[in-house]
Amino acid sequence: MLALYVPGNSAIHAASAGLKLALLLIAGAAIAILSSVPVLAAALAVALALYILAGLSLRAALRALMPVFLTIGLFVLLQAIFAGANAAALTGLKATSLVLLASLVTFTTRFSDMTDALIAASRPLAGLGLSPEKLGLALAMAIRFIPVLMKDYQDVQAARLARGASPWGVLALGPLLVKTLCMANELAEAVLARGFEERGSRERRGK
Amino acid sequence: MSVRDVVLVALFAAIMAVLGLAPKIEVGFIPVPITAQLLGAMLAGSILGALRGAAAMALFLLLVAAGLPVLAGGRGGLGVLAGPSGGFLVGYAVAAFVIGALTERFWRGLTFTKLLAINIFGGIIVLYAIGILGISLLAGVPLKTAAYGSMIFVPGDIVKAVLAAAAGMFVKRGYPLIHDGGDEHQC
Repeated sequence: MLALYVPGNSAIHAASAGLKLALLLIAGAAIAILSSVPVLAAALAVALALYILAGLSLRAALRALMPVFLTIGLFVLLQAIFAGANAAALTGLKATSLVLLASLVTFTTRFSDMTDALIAASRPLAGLGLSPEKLGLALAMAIRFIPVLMKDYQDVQAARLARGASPWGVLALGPLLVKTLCMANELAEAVLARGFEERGSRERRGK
Repeated sequence: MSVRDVVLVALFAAIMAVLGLAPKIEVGFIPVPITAQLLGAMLAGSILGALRGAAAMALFLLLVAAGLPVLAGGRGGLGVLAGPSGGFLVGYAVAAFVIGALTERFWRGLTFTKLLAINIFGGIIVLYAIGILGISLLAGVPLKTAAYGSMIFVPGDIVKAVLAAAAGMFVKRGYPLIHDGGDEHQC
């Protein structure tokens, strides 16, 4: 599994993840409010120009985003039928420029930089008992769990097929889930045994 | 949140990703593949309860936002969250919370039928309300048009609610994690 980041050395790549996210938020809000076809067409043109500035291949970007554009196409079509050409153009321009700008940030920001920025943005949530350390631990474990779970699923499915069982049986998810929950329980014990909780509770006492 | 809770939250965020990566299963007469990730949101709510379920979905959305292609069909990134169906993705967290809260409320004497009703309410009615609102805002489409475009997914999502309710009841019997602390399980 590869992250969607596309390496490059443009000014957009060099800008900090936090700055890009903040600008995206402002641009997104502006696009959502705007309702003039020429202005939105200009916004789309700016988005496309930024892709060229970032040295990204537009064709590769379109290919990566094809399912999203198909959904947009569906709603443009529905708008054209129910509300006329102008409304359809507005929908198409709004959604396309929004998706292109948001994806530009994803394509030009490293996964690690983005998670750092998003964790920093979630700092106000620390009051809810979500310390950045625990968020970091959760993030790392979730990424590590993905291939483990894939393997579990494939093993169970291969065993079923070898026994001549129906391939649909795996849709009874219960047994697979209990096996996975047991694995998670052992992992939690391992994390506790290595003293992670101790650090967390000392931190709580300090507060 | 205890370390055990953090591990469970990470686990269900990963289950979401695996549901997106797993090969699609076509179910005969229903036009939509069954692998969609709503199943993961329903499972998280039914098995972990409101807070941990919603946290698992939030963590998954963090992975998506950070640029991992973990949504069904290898999608990911901020572009998908900002796309017309972004409301449904954010809605997963709310759906898991609602399903979890109701599951906790009706935990004693929970039956398959009750859990199915809970999953249909939280995972379809609540989720679609948020998703349709999202389409309307992000694509500038009237609510009615947004609702029309979403209805083709309802049959497949009912199948997911059935699977989630069955799995939820199985886990409740074998490895309950709501109201039981989940500390003294033998594996």
